[in-house]
Amino acid sequence: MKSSEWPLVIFSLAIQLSAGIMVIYDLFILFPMYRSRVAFPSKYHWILLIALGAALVGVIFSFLHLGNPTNAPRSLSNIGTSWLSREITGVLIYSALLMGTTILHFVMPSAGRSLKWLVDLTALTGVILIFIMSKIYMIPARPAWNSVFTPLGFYMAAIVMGASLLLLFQINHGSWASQKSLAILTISIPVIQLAILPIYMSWLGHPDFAGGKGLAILLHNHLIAFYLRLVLYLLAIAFGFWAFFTIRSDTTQNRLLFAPALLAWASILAAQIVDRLLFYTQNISPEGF
Amino acid sequence: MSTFGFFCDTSACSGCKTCQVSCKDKNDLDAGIRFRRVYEVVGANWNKTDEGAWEHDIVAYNLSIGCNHCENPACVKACPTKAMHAELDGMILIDPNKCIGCRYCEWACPYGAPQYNKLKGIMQKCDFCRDYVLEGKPPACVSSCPMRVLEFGPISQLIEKHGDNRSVYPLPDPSITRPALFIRKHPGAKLAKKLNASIINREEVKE
Amino acid sequence: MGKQNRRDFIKKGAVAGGVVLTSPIWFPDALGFSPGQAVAPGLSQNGWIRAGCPAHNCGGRCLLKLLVKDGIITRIETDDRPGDTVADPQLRACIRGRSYRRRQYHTDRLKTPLVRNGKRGEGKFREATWDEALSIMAAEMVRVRSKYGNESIFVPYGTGSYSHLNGRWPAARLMNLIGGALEYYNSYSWACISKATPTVYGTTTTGNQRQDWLNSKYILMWGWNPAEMRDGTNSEFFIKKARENGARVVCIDPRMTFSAVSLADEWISIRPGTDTAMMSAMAYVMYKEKLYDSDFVRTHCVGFDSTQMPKGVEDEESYVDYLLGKFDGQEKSPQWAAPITGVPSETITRIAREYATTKPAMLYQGYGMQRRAYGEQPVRGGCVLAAITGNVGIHGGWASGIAHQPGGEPFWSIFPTGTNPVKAKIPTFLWSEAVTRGTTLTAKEGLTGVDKLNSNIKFIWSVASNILMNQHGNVNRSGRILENESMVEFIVVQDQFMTASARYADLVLPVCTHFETWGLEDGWKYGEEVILMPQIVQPLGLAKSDYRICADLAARLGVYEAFTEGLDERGWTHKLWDEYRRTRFPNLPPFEQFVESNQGVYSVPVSDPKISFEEFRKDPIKHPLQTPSGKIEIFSKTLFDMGMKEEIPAVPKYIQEWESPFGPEAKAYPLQAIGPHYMARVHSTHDNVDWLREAFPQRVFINPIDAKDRKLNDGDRVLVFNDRGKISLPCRVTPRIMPGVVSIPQGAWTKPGPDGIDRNGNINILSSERWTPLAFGNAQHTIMVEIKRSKN
Ligand SMILES: Nc1nc2c(c(=O)[nH]1)N[C@H]1C(S)=C(S)[C@@H](COP(=O)(O)OP(=O)(O)OC[C@H]3O[C@@H](n4cnc5c(=O)[nH]c(N)nc54)[C@H](O)[C@@H]3O)O[C@H]1N2
Ligand SMILES: Nc1nc2c(c(=O)[nH]1)N[C@H]1C(S)=C(S)[C@@H](COP(=O)(O)OP(=O)(O)OC[C@H]3O[C@@H](n4cnc5c(=O)[nH]c(N)nc54)[C@H](O)[C@@H]3O)O[C@H]1N2
Ligand code: SF4
Ligand code: SF4
Ligand code: SF4
Ligand code: SF4
Ligand code: SF4
Ligand SMILES: [Mo]
Repeated sequence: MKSSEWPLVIFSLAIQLSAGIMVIYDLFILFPMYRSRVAFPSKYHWILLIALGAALVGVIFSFLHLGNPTNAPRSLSNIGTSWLSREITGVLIYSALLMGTTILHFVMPSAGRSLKWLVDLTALTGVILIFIMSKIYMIPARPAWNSVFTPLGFYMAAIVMGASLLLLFQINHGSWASQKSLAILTISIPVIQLAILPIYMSWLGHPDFAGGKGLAILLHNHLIAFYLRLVLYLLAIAFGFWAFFTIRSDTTQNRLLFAPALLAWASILAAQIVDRLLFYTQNISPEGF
Repeated sequence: MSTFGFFCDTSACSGCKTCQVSCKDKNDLDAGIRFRRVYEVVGANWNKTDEGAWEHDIVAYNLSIGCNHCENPACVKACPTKAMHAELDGMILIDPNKCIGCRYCEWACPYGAPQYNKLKGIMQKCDFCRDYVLEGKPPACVSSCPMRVLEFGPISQLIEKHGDNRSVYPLPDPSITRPALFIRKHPGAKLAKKLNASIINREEVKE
Repeated sequence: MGKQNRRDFIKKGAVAGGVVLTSPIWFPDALGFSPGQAVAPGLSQNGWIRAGCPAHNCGGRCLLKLLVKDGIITRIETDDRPGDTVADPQLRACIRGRSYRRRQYHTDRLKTPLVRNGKRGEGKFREATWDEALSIMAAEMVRVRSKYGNESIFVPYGTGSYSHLNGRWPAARLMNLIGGALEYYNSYSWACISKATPTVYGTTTTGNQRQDWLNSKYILMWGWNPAEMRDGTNSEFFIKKARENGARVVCIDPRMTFSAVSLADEWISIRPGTDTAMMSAMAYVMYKEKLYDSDFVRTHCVGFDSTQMPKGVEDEESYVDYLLGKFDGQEKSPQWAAPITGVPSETITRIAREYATTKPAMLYQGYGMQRRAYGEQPVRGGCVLAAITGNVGIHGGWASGIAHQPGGEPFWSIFPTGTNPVKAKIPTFLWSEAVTRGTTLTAKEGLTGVDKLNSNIKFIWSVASNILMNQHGNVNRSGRILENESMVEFIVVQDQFMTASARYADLVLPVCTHFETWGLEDGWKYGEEVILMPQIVQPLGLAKSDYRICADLAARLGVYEAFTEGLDERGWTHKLWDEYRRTRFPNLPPFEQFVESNQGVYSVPVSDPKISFEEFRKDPIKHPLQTPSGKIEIFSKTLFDMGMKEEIPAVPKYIQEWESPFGPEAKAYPLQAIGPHYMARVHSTHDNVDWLREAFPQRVFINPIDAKDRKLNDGDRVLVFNDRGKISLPCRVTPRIMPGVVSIPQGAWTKPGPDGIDRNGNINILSSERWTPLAFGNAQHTIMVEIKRSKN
């Protein structure tokens, strides 16, 4: 695999991890508390820090990807037509929002509940940002990317990375329901990804589509990575189940959850990295131009 | 909405790549950067006959392609910095002072025209030999072709002379970018799809 | 600006960049620019200077325009003379000419004389001054000459330079002034075709001027690939024009060549070395179906059938006897030829009919198929087909054979080399025999001028040549011969790069490029032009022109005045120019005026192309050929009288090659390997040019069927081998070559690794030193190999 793709792999996964954390945090943790009018515990603030850290890693790697970073500010000048410009703008807005949210949470720990709208906004920006990111790849000149599989893949990556990470950080606190639902997400996304794979592959292999070259590249040049990804998915599912069944109703006594949740999260992260690397191998022009 | 275009008679292009190198000379390009590329399209069936002889159905032809200075340039649309831009005369150029080397235009172009310069960290591309054209000279590649299969001129004139065909197997659907590239088809192109033809000289056109 | 506006912008001739654009000029054929500042050539001039492309032995002769800035060539363009008509076309350079800066300014250029200080062939040298180098050389030359005589000195074939006063010509002149050297005759290029053509026609001038191709209605490109080897600048362009005039073009070649792709309506894949079988079968069809031109055969030919046999051999095998199998019991039918040639019998029949009935028609023979075991046969076979279809001496026809153009033998150098006091001549290809066993050579091995040589070759002065270790058959054998210092006692190589041959030298002399000295060139094989090659930049390092080196050596040998006649390079160029004005080009402008004009090329438009045999055709009695019978000799009594009918038959025959897919050798080595002349190189010249390597890397081309048998994927590194050696290079899997045949473009530099395996893909590691029976020519294309995947 070409090393030049690593910055993009890390950039995109980091941003998606960050947005995934925000979305899951917002929907699965804050939202139930909000509804049941519980006060927001300040111990969640460091989750924001992690999301922020991931976003910053993403920003740094997006620079590393550039051949001539000195001109980087110019990349904001074409949001009119360029999805890349929009993405960079989006990343900046998202990071700024996230940073603002985080800072506010830290400086006004008591404001908790009243800052929910900021978390909502950041998460929503994240969701939009992922859409923008996928639009970058949905171009006729890269037919293997130019399909609904791309946004689907990005969203699933975000959700599963966010969910599994939050599951890990829910150990010993959080509700039984949220732990269970995060575990279910951790299991079901790899299951969906596995289920989609044959559909995706048969689409890739269709002779009308770049002569089936995408599939050929997957199966001839990257067979090991291809199998590795399958194994990692299966592992993630297995660990997910393990985690699911270790969840006790007394959520403060869930020490046993740690090992499976960590393993699930690690295998999911690894699977997404391999997945993303394989995604970039599909950088094929029509017919090889 | 380009004003100028190229014409390539693929029925008579030998694949000699004089155009490619004359361009490299004009633009001082190191090996690995090709503003003009010559793609070799080949498809065939070989069968041994009862007599012990060989029969073949075969098509082969070449496509010499620079940048097509498209009327609907995907590269320009994609470029985040506007480094890739259309001049008033329709030529698509890269402003090296604006380019950040993100390589997005390279993805967006269905013709492989943008060429990344690793040393400089920026994208480069066929500029239609704009300096020559403005001087009243033909582009280096056009005047180099020993087979005289390359031409250039205002789009309207090219269409008048050669008709408005902008594609031949396996070039992308011209509706994507409206390339200012006009093509006379090689007679073999009719069979290309049937014979499962493809570009077979990857190592010659890409790094 | 809206769409409408942009169109208007052009139509109205708006001002852009200060230049007014008006629409009608935008078609290239209407363009005749003389852009930029033109200046008279000469050193330290800035601007565009016109000069000939360095005259290596490339198949073309083209005009370059070089942009010089502060003594450096900064850009190269080509002929931009307005018009570009068929009569006087632009001499557009090929990819090699356009890449020349990368050769000119290559970091590996030799810049100083080198003296060997390791074992011979080891490649260890020390730097030396010119004075030391030339003193050593002169001393060795005198020593060897006094010990073994002038016959022991050899200036081998070498085609690196055809600029009239560079390359081996000045070396030949110098040798002739100091008692001569062993001479050679014929070439690596054309041994068989130049020998066999006159056996049919009594001359090598069998061609028409190329503009006449436009009159043809049917063109068989038989093993001929002008789009890649050019065969005279613009040959490919003329065939394109002939097609536009309605000619049908068929290419017969084991490979679907550049020409097959861009110039032909049909490609027929033929097994190498079997052309005469297909030709015979075509003649068979024509005979059986009475499609041949019986009137022409009756009046202009001998030996076609038994009624036409020369005196004294009336009962011998006529051509028709051969076709019908009267003597050998085998009819040469298409069904017979199909399994031999790999061409289906219906195809052979159809091509025979097409060629015999479409008038006028050309059968143009390439030279690759005569660089083979019985390379004389397809030459004679092609000539006979041209003759029996009556395509001789007519517009749009073509007599086949070597086809020099009337009034324009290839001159290639008019530099006066003088006469060689040594009368002995060997066939070019047999130099390695003359090294190992020169004194045993006889007329049977082609020795002429003397019955016996007095000495083996003891001194080699290799100028503009990479024959020694690259271009001759069986390089590993050459290496064993040359590294033995008791055989050849002194070797001088005069080149621009450290070639494989230079590595085997005792003394390496650095030569400047053609841009660094004066010279002159004319058409490679065709063409009515003379191209000036002014000096436009200074030589690199201590490099000198071939002429200057020879002159300096002449001074040490006491013949400076006789050698130089008081002239330097420019002076000689002037003198040769005047010679042309006196002879071939009476309207050539005076030298100084031409130099001043910076025109670069003087050409004579050909609007009424000359054709060969026009008078013979009209009246064969009044204008007989130079053959013994005065007619076209389908049966050659001269050949018959040689009494070697198995290998030198009197009528053209298919003879199974000594290495063939039908022989026992095919068991171990089932693939035929051919070494075509590659776009990226002129032989071995340019092999180190990165732009050319990028465009056309060295590879072995193999059909998917053969690749599959050997589990090879496109791009895999493979080992190609036979008993003579091994090479390792990447493979290109392509259906553009017929199954059973692989192609390894000839000319890659020999670069053996420590294990003796060549890693650059020089086909001559695999080729053989065996020569053809009649012409003593190189049969380097006749080899069998096997291929397998290689680890490194
Ligand atoms: N680019 C380039 N041009 C050159 C040269 C060069 O090195 N590079 N060299 C120049 C020189 S010195 C010469 S002598 C000429 C050589 O010119 P040629 O001898 O004509 O060139 P080759 O490539 O050896 O052979 C021509 C064709 O013959 C085919 N061939 C080989 N064996 C057979 C056979 O048995 N039967 C048939 N029918 N075809 C066969 C090959 O596939 C090839 O396409 O080229 C000149 N032009
Ligand atoms: N297997 C196989 N072998 C072949 C052939 C084949 O078809 N197959 N073809 C044969 C044919 S047709 C030919 S003509 C021969 C050609 O064989 P050669 O005549 O040896 O030609 P090159 O290999 O080009 O070597 C010419 C050398 O001259 C040098 N040179 C260039 N310019 C100058 C100059 O101005 N002065 C000096 N002193 N040196 C200069 C170049 O650097 C180069 O090293 O090869 C033959 N060998
Ligand atoms: S120079 Fe002309 S013939 Fe040669 S590859 Fe380019 S377009 Fe084709
Ligand atoms: S060919 Fe590619 S780079 Fe050129 S204008 Fe069209 S889309 Fe842009
Ligand atoms: S590489 Fe340069 S020209 Fe291309 S899209 Fe990026 S900024 Fe624009
Ligand atoms: S127009 Fe100029 S820059 Fe473009 S491909 Fe031709 S030579 Fe190169
Ligand atoms: S054909 Fe020969 S003379 Fe012409 S440009 Fe090519 S190498 Fe130079
Ligand atoms: Mo040659």
